[in-house]
Amino acid sequence: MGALSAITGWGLSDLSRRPGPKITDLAKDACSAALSDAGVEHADIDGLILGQSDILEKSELTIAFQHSLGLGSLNLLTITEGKGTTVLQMIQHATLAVQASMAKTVLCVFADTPIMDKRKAGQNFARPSKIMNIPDWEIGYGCYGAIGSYALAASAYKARDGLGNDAFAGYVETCRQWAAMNSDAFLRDPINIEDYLSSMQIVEPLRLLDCAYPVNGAAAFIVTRIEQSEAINHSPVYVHGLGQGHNRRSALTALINNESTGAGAASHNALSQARLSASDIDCLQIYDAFSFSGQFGLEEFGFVPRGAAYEFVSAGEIGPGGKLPTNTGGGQLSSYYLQGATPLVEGLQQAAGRAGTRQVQKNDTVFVTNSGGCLEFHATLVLSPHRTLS
Amino acid sequence: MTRLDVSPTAAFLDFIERGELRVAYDSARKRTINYNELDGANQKELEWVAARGTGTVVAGAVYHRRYSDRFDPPYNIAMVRLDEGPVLLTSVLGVVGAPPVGMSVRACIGEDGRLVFVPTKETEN
Repeated sequence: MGALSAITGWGLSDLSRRPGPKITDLAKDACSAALSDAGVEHADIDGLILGQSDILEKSELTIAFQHSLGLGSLNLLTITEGKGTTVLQMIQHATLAVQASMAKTVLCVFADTPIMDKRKAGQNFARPSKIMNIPDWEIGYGCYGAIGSYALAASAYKARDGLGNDAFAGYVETCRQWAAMNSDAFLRDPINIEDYLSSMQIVEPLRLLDCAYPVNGAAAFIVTRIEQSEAINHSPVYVHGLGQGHNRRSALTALINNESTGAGAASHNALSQARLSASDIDCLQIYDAFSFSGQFGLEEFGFVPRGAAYEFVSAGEIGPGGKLPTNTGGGQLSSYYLQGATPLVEGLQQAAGRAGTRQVQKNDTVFVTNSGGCLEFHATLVLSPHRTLS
Repeated sequence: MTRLDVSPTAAFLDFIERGELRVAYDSARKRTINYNELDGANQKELEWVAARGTGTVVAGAVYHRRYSDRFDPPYNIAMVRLDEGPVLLTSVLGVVGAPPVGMSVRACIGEDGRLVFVPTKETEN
């Protein structure tokens, strides 16, 4: 099967834990990095897709960004917002646009500034959880933040599989092993089970080490038609499958009702488009805002059978040298949390063979996921360094 | 009296305010409606049946970090499945740590008017 589009360049702004540049300045820096990585000029860009962070109440990254970036006339200009799935949805929309010949070279940029003056990042994530779908119900129980729903889901998952207080320890330790080899990662010191168990409880069973590490920053990607992909200075990465899956069930409702989230559909849709099955995937980059979502995602996206993720992780299968190297840059727990950009950037580095000392041996097929809400929303991509998959 | 002129969600909250826990039963489709699906139900088709008030914890968590002035950590939250089927986000009083999955609980209305649960006697022993 031939590829659907090519990603010819990508880049990050500076990533920071302190309040700093305006969101538009971060986005500009990421765009410059991506343009230079792809070896294309501003004049070559004829499409722009902006990814807005759901965390920010009012993002200043609006379509006026076209002008502050100094782009000329465009054939495509839009904003994508799909909660945690925004970044992969940008790539999907860009792919559809180049396939339909609406545009030839589409710049996709996502920026987020969860860390602002006088507010800790955690406060930005501290809106009432939405579980009952009854206005203000959660406020009456002090149930705030995405972490409230995720902690409940994690408790149901632990109970389902009879897991103890080390349920996610192996996952967290493995992410650190990968992060140690990633100079872009913020948390690179190795940790062991004692470190994990002494980590502060935030919303039990989730500890500080189970939570993503948010940063301010931006990421940009250049998506082109296949025909355009050759004229650059490094190997492009080809997009072979696009998937989405959204249903009413969150991780929490799925677990307590013995049902599935939309992750399975998102996975199936992308894999079948690429004529692959989950067992053909060499490397996985999963959206893991919490350790639980990464580990549970292994099951939900169909990479291990239901109930088998803990054993799979404990056996070292997602770590260096494992059967399915996963979140090879440290993921959102140990590298940085820039929403859906974190797994996509690492997926591209691996597919392009640019991952340095952490480069996986086999990178013919790389699967990337994005998830939002409490796992109600899912988007996926199949990436490969090869233009055709035999 | 069940009010027909309000949304199913408002009807549910009205009952809670009066100290009653009720379950929405769709008599045409012969099924109970989960609370998180009330917004898609038609109040005219619902029969509000008094719940027995007993249920089982299906998920439980403990807040150790302060998110609100009203709640001093640590405090717990739980998902309780009523014996009639629907699931509620609530809190289980009188337990240390996270309410364990599988614990039998019964509903009560707290002094603050909140619907909360306590462990049933069998579980305490």
